Amino acid sequence: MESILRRENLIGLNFRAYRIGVLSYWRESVKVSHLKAKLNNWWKCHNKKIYAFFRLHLSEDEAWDLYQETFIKAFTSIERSGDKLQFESDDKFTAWMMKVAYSVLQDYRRKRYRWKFILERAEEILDKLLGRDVGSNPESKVIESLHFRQLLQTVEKLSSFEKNVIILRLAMDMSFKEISEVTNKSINTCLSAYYRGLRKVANYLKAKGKGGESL
Amino acid sequence: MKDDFKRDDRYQDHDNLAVESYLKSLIERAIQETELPSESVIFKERGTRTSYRFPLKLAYGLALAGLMSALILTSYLKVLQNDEVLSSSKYVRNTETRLVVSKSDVKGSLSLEEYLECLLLEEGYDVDEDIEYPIEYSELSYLESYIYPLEIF
Repeated sequence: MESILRRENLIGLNFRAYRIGVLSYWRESVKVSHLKAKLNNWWKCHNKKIYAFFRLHLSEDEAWDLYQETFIKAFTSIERSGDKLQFESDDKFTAWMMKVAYSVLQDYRRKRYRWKFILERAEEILDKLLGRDVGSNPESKVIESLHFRQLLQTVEKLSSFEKNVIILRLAMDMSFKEISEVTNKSINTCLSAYYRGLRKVANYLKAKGKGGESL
Repeated sequence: MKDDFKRDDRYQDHDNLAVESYLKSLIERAIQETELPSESVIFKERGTRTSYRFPLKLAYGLALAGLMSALILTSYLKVLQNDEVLSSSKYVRNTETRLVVSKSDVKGSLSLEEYLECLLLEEGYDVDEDIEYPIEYSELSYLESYIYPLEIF
């Protein structure tokens, strides 16, 4: 009798543990799926901005690859972290996403710099072997507007950090405090880079002679 | 725009304000008018950061033609289609990628090939008649030469 009771208790305990396990798993998966839905919605609104963020630095193909890489990285981070990731507001989520994009860009740059010469040579050889026309890109489906070309020309002389700060500020509508968190630089460094960038753009527009009317 | 640091005198510079508003409107227009493809498939090589990207329709063809076996498939495969994210299984054995499909009309676990075949059939392609299978494939570099003929669908 005693053993039966003990067994029932154990079963009860196990069942409770099982229920707690299921519940916590369910709660976690609800939180994760909530974050995934958040990511999806955010992506729908801001995907073009993410593309533009990369495109200011890189070629169309590279920008497109990193654009996708950012989504995958954010998606897998959410999957892995479970309920550890929490965002108090949409602004915090935007800052987190931009941090992901920023780190993707930094990683890519580091890697590309390391392999730059080898990769360039390898691509050149591959192009020749396959008889590829370097200019054409049959896979590319991104359609950039004339304004996009204009934007690329306008920010051409800016340093990479100045471009980052400008796009985070003007496209993502972020505060300098948020920008400093994303870039891991001080607020004053971000402010200086931003105004130096604006000054360079002003000089470019003045030199071009067309900016005078716009300004 | 969030004005969190107005203490700086540089904000009062009219030139800066004008350039700022010019750039902002240029960025907005540039972004607004750019069109990104919504349909693409990303194959990410397992254990590396290498990823292969194909337009969705090309990917149907590649998978059905068996070219996917030439690739080392992918620990993370995401299909972005109709703004819907399909989650993929994390555990991949060689080319046997299993997708956890969450679309309402196709549920359960399908191989990549089965899933792409479903999509192709949905679009009205006859798998047996519309696709010519390449005779030989063994290396990734051969992929390039198959892109053009497969683009017909």
